[in-house]
Amino acid sequence: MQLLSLIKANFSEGMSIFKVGKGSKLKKAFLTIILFSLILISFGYYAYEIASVLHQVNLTYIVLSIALTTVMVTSFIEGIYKSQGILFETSDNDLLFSLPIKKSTIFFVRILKLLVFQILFNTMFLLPCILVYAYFENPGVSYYLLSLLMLIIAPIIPTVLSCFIGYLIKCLSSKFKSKKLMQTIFSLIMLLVIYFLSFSMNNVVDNLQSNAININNTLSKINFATNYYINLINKFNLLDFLKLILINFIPLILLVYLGSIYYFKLIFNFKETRVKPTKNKVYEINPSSPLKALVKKEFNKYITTPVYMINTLFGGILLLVMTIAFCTNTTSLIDFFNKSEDTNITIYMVYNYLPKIFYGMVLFGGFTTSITSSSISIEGSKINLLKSLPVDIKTIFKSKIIFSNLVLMPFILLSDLIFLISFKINILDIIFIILASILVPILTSLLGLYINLLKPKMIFKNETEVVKQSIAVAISVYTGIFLLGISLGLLFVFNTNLNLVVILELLIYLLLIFMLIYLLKRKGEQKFKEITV
Amino acid sequence: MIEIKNVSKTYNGKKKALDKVSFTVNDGEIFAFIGHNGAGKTTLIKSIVGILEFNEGDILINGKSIKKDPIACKKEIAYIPDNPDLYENMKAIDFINFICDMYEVNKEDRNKNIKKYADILELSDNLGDEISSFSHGMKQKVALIAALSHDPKILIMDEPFVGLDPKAVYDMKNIMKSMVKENKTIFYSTHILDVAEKICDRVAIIKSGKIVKVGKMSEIKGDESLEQVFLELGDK
Repeated sequence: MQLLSLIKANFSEGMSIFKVGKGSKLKKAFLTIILFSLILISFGYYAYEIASVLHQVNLTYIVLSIALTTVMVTSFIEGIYKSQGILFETSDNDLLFSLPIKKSTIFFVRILKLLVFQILFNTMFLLPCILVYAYFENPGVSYYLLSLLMLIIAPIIPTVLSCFIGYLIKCLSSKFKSKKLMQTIFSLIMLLVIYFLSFSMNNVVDNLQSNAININNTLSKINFATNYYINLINKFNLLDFLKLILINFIPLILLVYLGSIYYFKLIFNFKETRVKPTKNKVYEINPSSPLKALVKKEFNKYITTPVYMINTLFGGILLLVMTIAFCTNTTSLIDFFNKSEDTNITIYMVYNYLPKIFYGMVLFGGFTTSITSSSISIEGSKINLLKSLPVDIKTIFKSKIIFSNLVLMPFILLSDLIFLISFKINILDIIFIILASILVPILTSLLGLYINLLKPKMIFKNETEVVKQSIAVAISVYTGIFLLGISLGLLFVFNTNLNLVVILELLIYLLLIFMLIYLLKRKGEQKFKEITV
Repeated sequence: MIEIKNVSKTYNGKKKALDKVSFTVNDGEIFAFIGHNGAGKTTLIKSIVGILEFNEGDILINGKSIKKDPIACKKEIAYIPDNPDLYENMKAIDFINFICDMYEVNKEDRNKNIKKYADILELSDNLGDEISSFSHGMKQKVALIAALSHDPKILIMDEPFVGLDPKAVYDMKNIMKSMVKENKTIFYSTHILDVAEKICDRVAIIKSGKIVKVGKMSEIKGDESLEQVFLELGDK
């Protein structure tokens, strides 16, 4: 009873992503259903394409193997910073600890919440693959039951591991005076280590690219839960089934046991007030303009909120890493393409299309980054403070847009610089790349801000709920991906006159920017005034 | 001067939080605003400082409408909410400096004011610490220093004494009295009626969104205590 009440209370707030809009339950969930359906269809299409090739050589199950490993890796990476928010930084700690509830119950409910979110997001990617496999292989009922079980247990091991890493990060940060800042730095270092390890594994994967069975064998060795699942769908075996259950649930039980002891000690250490008076210190005070001060405030919030920073830096960092890889490995890239039977890409072709490939990469970096889509929500109850200040709403909007571009543009412009130093391209392409590097981040920052004003989430227990689980972020990210898809699609379809397509695209971006500026003035300011906490 | 003229506010088109509220807070007076929980005190305060939009009426701050000229109005006001919602990951000094930047206070004045109020409220030694490490009372003091550092003409506070230690309450009352001597206006909501009775010139009592009494403290309470008057009104 106690457990059920706690689960109900925890989930009713965190699941607000599924309660958008006004009116009936169906109407409220309409937008979410549309978004989820779009993702399911897109992934279903890709899974179908891959499976149709693998099916011819009786290797359809590799689709499942790759999908499971992918969601496990993403669950692990996301879990590192999600766990810090959901497990530690919830605002109901004092309330819950004062109630006669076992610590293990509180901890279990928080882990459950984290797992449910991982399961829901994993479902969007796994479900299409499970259905595609069923379409090609026509398996029995046991396949569906096992797949349903796998949907639920797939994120357990990565989440348990990421919780341990999240704990270590929190432990280390608690030793410092600026705990939050250190937490961001440690989380960033941890992710860079993971990225580095992933890239250093590229050599292994490169040698296996022509051999799907080897990929599957490698994945199975790393990810034994997937291995048991694949074995079980081929031939059910009670021992393997028990092993699959045990290797997932034993770490979870262990985590709940250890967590109920150590996590809570850490929460109190982290919250401990350690105020050391500094006698007669003279502070250097330098006045700034309201706009500059607001941008500095955004910066402070950004660097002291690990989940906000890491989640939104992804596109920029990936673009930079991709550019370095692209500029240093052009010939191996051609070799990679030539391994495929039906393509015959020459170095001349790559160099000819190089500026447009890089232009596409810039679009990717820009459209997959959306800092402003949570910048209003993340103010939370502090929005009242902001609204009481003598600054006009335009200045507040400007500060958020400027900050977003100050974060993203250096990554894009640095990537531009590396690319332009590495390859000699014509002036027209240089202009296209630079214009895209300026227009796309501005467009995404305006778009994110406008969507956040339409769908603000001002009440939350921790910032993870805003950055990872708010409808505004979901809409912004998928709108960005949609615009990216359309832009790249136009380049592929009309590849005979690429310059004209790029000019057209840049003009559309410019038009969208003016439209969004108009909307922000016309509707956005009113929406901001209407926000109440 | 704050002039509240027929202000009405409805939440979600249903619940009437304020119903044709009208009264004036004059220059150089301390004005107490009292009422039960949920009577509409915070709604009116948030409307005065420009956080909430109201449906009808107008609020004038030194003759300027908060609806038509919000920036000019806000420049004259300092607002301290009931729960000090500050930027927790900023150092106290950085937060105060941020507020001064918003009010475009020059370097000389902000240095002078920050030192003055930090010394009075005994927070000078902690200005370099992160706000997240502060207790509720210390956060309240940071909010107070930030509010006073831009030398506002009108001070609006929602339950200002909650969480403050007795010394800080004493200092706070002295600050309020000295501000009034400079012909500044103080408007605050409170549940601590005996303090209000001692330091306030005038009082307004709100019940279910309507002003039920407004006037000089001596006229409102007569021979009774403010607490008795308030309780009697609540029973009606």
